[in-house]
Amino acid sequence: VRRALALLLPLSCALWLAPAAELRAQQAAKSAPRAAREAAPAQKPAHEAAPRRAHGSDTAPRAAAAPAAPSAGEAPPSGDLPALWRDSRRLEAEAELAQKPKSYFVLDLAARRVAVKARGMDLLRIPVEETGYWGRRLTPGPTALVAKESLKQPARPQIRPGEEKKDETLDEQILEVKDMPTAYHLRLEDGLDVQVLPAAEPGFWPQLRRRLRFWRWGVERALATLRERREHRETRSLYLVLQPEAARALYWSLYEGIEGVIVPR
Amino acid sequence: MPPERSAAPAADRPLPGPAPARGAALRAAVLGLRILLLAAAVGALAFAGLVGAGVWIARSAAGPLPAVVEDAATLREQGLAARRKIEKVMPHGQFIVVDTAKNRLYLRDGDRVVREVVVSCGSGAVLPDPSGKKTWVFDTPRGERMVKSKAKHPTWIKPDWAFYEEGETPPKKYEDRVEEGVLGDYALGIGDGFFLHGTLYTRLLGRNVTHGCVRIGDADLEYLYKNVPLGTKVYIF
Repeated sequence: VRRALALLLPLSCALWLAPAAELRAQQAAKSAPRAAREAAPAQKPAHEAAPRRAHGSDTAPRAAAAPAAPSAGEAPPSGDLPALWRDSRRLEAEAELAQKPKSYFVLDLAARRVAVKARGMDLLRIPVEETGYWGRRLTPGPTALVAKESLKQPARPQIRPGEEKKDETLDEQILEVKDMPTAYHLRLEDGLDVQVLPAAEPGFWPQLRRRLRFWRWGVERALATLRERREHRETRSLYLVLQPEAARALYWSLYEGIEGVIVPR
Repeated sequence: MPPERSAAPAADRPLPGPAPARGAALRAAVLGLRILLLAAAVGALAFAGLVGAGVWIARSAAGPLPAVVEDAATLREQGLAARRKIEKVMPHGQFIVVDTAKNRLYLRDGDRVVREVVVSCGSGAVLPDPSGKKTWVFDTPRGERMVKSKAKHPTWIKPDWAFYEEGETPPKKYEDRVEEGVLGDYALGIGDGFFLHGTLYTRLLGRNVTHGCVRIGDADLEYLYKNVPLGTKVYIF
């Protein structure tokens, strides 16, 4: 038994840690874009510059939800052929969407951010805290949101004719961003399932739970891959961790049918 | 006559209880534990094997990196052409952005925020038509719009839903639909019956309470009315 355990334990650990390898690599790479963001902050109005409390939480809203400066994206890097290719594909897809009088989203995994845009201008810019991807390689290009799903879907309140509106019952009569979920799935075209989860708070136990949650996602995806292979079908899954307030804002801003662009790493 | 007691010392006496039975129970417990550990190890191995197989399949099915057939100069040119296409439609000069989640309106001039205003946007509530044929959804419409009209001392022509909401039947006469003073001093029409207008309920600014219009406080509304020309683009998200 001891010999078997001695063999099994390292093997199990290696297999269980495999999905986390990608996360570690991303976390290592995370410091660079974040440093760049901090070094060159986007122009923000006064209310964004001041720290703000959201629903009793002192989490600093890192979602640059205020309208950002008009931008068509950073200049393409010179010399790096895959990056140039990815950038030109993104811009071409975005140029098509920018011609329409609708908002659209750009899920840019290379820049680790999600943006809701209109006419090439950032309306909402949300930094991505953590990502993971499982499935066939993503290619940059257009996509669309097919459905938003969550365990507790926010329900539209129904007006009862003749009912008097009182301040005490106002919360029950309206739908606001605070009613939006922080954990949900965005089903995109081509079978891509984006799982959005709220970022963990600092501290040992929340961080451990965060790590376990990521491993669980990896294990679930691995087992799902086996099942899907037997059923001759394929799904792709993207794991996206956002600050809770940013996750709510994104859920609010994306509507079913909204078009967008996805840019892989 | 009582039986004669043994005179042997206590140390030489045999231990109470059935010793062989206790030893057998201990051996069985150890064996059970070993079987349990072995089963757990085999289970863990099987589970790890399954997960590993899933990882391997996923990695092998990921596919190769896309082959880039264009050269760097072509790609750069394509990117620049797309960028120019975007910049051509990008808003320039003065425009309005409405954040329906935060209930904020930003009057912007290019990159600069000229004025930030606390507003009230759509409540997201629904009202079914009494006939059951249709349902009104009170959302502020998203996307690009334009200031199409400007009015001073606007009157509200109450639509059907306003009567149904109050539990009344919509009147036949047009005059019975006209209501004055509820839209504030000014209104900026953005199409399809939606307006940026004033409100009597200033305490509710910052909340999603409207039927789709954007309610603005008096001072901010006056500023917008005086400084926003017709044709100004409005981006709502």
